[in-house]
Amino acid sequence: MDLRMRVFIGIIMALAFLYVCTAIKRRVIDIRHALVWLVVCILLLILDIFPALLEGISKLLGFALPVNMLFFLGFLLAIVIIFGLSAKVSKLNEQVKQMTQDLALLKNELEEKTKP
Amino acid sequence: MKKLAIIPAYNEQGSILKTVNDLKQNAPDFDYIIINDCSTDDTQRICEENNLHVVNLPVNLGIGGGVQTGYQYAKTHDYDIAVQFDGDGQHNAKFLDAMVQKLVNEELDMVIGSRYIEKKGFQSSGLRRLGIRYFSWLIRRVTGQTITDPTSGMRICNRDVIDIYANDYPRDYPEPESVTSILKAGKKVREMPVEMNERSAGVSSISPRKSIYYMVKVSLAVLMAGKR
Ligand SMILES: Nc1nc2c(ncn2[C@@H]2O[C@H](COP(=O)(O)OP(=O)(O)O)[C@@H](O)[C@H]2O)c(=O)[nH]1
Ligand SMILES: [Mg+2]
Repeated sequence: MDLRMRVFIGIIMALAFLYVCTAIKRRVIDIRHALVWLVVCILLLILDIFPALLEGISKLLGFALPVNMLFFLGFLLAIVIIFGLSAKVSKLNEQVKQMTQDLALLKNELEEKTKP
Repeated sequence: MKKLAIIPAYNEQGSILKTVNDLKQNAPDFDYIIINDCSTDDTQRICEENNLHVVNLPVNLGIGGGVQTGYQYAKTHDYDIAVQFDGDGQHNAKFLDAMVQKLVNEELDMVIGSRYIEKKGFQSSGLRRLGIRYFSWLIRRVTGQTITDPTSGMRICNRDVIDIYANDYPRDYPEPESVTSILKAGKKVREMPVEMNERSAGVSSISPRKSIYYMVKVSLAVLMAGKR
């Protein structure tokens, strides 16, 4: 892999890592949800710093260019995270629905009781 | 026997009073509960000023979540029978007694009011009829039973089904999916002819723009319900 590209990718990954860390510190994101992003950064960073590792795996899996393997891996991990978020949103939706229903029924009961 | 009419209402200021009066006159032994799904018009004010029975949802849940709230109400208040009755004045209360009779006499779990047995009254637009025929075909493929009006919102059911729906009900466009799942659970569902009216005020929640999503979502849901 081209050295310039590796330096470029390395810098971006390091910046992304730092950004996620500050986001945790400023409580923009919960550690539970940030962890998976940090793992992605570190993983891609490792493969970027040790190209021999990446080349070995690419050859094993039949990728013509090691960098393709890097992109594919990043893409795959992003997709996994996004799907996890969709599942999470579905669950939150369901929870909000149940709370809304409970609250509305409770309020109705109270109103019916205080009615003349 | 305690009987409840569940009236889902989203922005029905122009027809909610008419709907309740129709029930009081033509189905007087039914209690009713309006589920006001966070309407942005005067629905809530009208309900409160006229002292109507209403559950006000604090955020909009959509038709499925709204109707399900009605089934939960029926369950906690120990009703034997519940009917879904649209708040837009499209359903006619005069048919309810006959539907109760059929449900009780034939020991059914659900009776659906169908527009397409006698083909009288408002028949919906041509394109929507096509969609309804398609869902009817799909449900026949999945369950082996014929439901001529699978999107009808006028459905009466017994305690068993109230219980099932209070726990689990689809969020949007719920009718075809929810009838498929109880058919698959071995419940007895029959239809009987009713006449419906054209909408007199307000707008339908099913816009042409959403109908593609509607077809795809409901098809998938019916197929999934068939596999359970
Ligand atoms: N709870 C609730 N009810 C709704 C919502 N949208 C529509 N409805 C009600 O569901 C019933 C049927 O809806 P409508 O739009 O007339 O559907 P259509 O008759 O199939 O065209 C009416 O009583 C509406 O007020 C919603 O978002 N939440
Ligand atoms: Mg309607």
